[in-house]
Amino acid sequence: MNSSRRWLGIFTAVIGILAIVAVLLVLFTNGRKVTLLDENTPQGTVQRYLIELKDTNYAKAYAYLLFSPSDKISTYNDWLTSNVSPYSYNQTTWKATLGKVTQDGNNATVDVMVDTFRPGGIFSNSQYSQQIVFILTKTGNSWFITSPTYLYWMF
Amino acid sequence: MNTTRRFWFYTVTLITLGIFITGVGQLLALLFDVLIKSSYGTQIGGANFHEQQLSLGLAMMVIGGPLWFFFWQAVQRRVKGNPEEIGAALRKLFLNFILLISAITAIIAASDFIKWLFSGVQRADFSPGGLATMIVAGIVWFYHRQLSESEGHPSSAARTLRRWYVYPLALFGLVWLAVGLVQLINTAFSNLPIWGNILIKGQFWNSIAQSSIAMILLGAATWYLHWFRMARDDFDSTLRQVYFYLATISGGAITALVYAIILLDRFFLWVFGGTVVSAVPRFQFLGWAVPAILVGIAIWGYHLRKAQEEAGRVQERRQSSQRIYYYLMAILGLGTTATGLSNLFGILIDTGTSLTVSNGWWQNQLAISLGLLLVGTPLWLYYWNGILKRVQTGGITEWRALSRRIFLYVIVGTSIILLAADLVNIIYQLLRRLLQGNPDSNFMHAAKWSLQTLIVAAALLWYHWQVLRADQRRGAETVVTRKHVTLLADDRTGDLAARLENKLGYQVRTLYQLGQTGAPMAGLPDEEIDNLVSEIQSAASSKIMLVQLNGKITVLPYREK
Repeated sequence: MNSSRRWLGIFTAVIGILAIVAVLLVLFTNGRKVTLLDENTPQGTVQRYLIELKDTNYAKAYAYLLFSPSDKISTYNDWLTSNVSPYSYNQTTWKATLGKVTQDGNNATVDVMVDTFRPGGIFSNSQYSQQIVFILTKTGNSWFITSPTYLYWMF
Repeated sequence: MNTTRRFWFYTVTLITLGIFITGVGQLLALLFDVLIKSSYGTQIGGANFHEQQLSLGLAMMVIGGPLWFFFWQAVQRRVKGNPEEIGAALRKLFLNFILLISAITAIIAASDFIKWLFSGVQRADFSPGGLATMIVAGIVWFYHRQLSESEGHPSSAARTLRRWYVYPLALFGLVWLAVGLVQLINTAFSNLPIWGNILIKGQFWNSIAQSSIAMILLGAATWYLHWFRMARDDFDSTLRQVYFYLATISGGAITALVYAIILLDRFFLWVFGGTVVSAVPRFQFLGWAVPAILVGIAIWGYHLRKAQEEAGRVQERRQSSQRIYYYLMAILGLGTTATGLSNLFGILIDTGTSLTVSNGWWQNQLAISLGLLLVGTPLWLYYWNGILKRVQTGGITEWRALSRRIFLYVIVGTSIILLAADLVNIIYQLLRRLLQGNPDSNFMHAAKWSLQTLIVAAALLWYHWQVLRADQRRGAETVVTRKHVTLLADDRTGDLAARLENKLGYQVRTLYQLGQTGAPMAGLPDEEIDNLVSEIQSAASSKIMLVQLNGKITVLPYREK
């Protein structure tokens, strides 16, 4: 067996193992529930907001937002119609990973890495990553997201 | 295999390989995402995302993998033990194209990965796709390189196509190494605790320092592998000469000279008390200017020395890159000198006419003029002198050389256009004032730029016009009836072909007779070369075969049936 054939054999075996491991990982980790963080923390608020968006519970997600008068959004319907198109909401798959949290009194920021999966052909990049910084403010015991209140990042 | 079949096989193999490795990359990215990045405690939507990724990855791998394997095995069966197939240009194009793309992809992905390692292995910043790309591209590169090097490069096309992979990668590595070094030194320099008036300062160990070190490591490794290992002993190559003269020597020289002009400009500005409008401290520019000059000189000097060492082994005909380099450097030097002189005349005209100029204006002009002159003049003198020596010994080939013709016509043409534009403006300004009955009103100010460029353009035109006319008198531009001359001889050094080309003024095709020793042929006297040239020129046919037999060259005119 010459060198290139030997390497080909090794690569085939490694790729076979990779495929099996990937399938097993997805199958066995799929049922795991997200561990909920404390709701009264900035990261817990962002986590719940994103979970509600993921489950398309927009009304519940809206409850985590706090708008300034300049946003010109006063009702849930204003927000929904300006963000969610009936044609686009289910077209992409995305996941969000919580990153660094910075808290300063009643203000906080939470870094979130959002990866969007958008297969567009065999030679195109199917993943798009973006970092979003959520800005929160504390009112009473609860934290509210003041920015971004739009949802364009998930499409 | 015929060419169409070969083309079909390699195209389909390339496409299926693309599908296959993209699928493998997706699965590997998924694996890293779950094992390294993901924490189900903090990740939202991961399961759905991974299902999609697994579906796409498996689909591409299951379809692309077997297809690629089938086509690749079919190709390999036909290649096995067949030197003609091994050396086929399409096979080598396929292999070297994959090597080039996979190497660059792997290096870029590796730099992101190394930067992530240096930045403290933060899970949130980890890119599973990046690491997967690095591994997949690395494996593809490794497998094809093993294959390519083990089967060898038995044909001239195979060797040429290998060079089209080796030299661009060597240059890529060198550029990364150089940029990384300059960036790192600049970051360190700007973080020294010597700069006053700094309100806020970042840390030295920032993303620029981390990416610079990644670039240095990867650039050095890439350059070492491709230049010191793969390109070693590849002397008889035109692309090597292009790499030397048009990429590294010219690139290094231009980098060093541009930054030297900036350095001198800032130095003279400081000496004359001029001002620089900038938020950064005055001498912080030394952090990028000095390392850029040193790196540029190192690249320039090393490659020039290496090219000179190898000059004896290089066939004369492969030295056109050297000629282009000389003319390129001469035109750069001349342009820099002319701009410096023109600026200097501007200052003299201003001083002579006692015009009011803004405060600090002359310091800026004088600083840039001296910077340009100090760099441009020695450069032009050195390379123009080199060109004059080449022309003295090179004969008609040097006079006729395309690079020389372009050099002379560019300078003469540019000078004429400049002169015309300058004269139009000067006459317009003069006539306008005369007709309006106000001949003294600020004429020198309005015509200053035209006057200062007119003096330089006129001198350039006069000198280069003389050179151009002298070349024309020597027959550099007379139309030559080109004949297809083929030399069948044991002329491995290319000396005989080069001497014939010098006299004829066009290229001679060389064929080597099989079974000969490769020992250089005893030098023919000049008279014999002249006789051969006159026989070629007087032959009735446009196709001539020169055959070397028993130390004698026979001229055989022929025609195709």
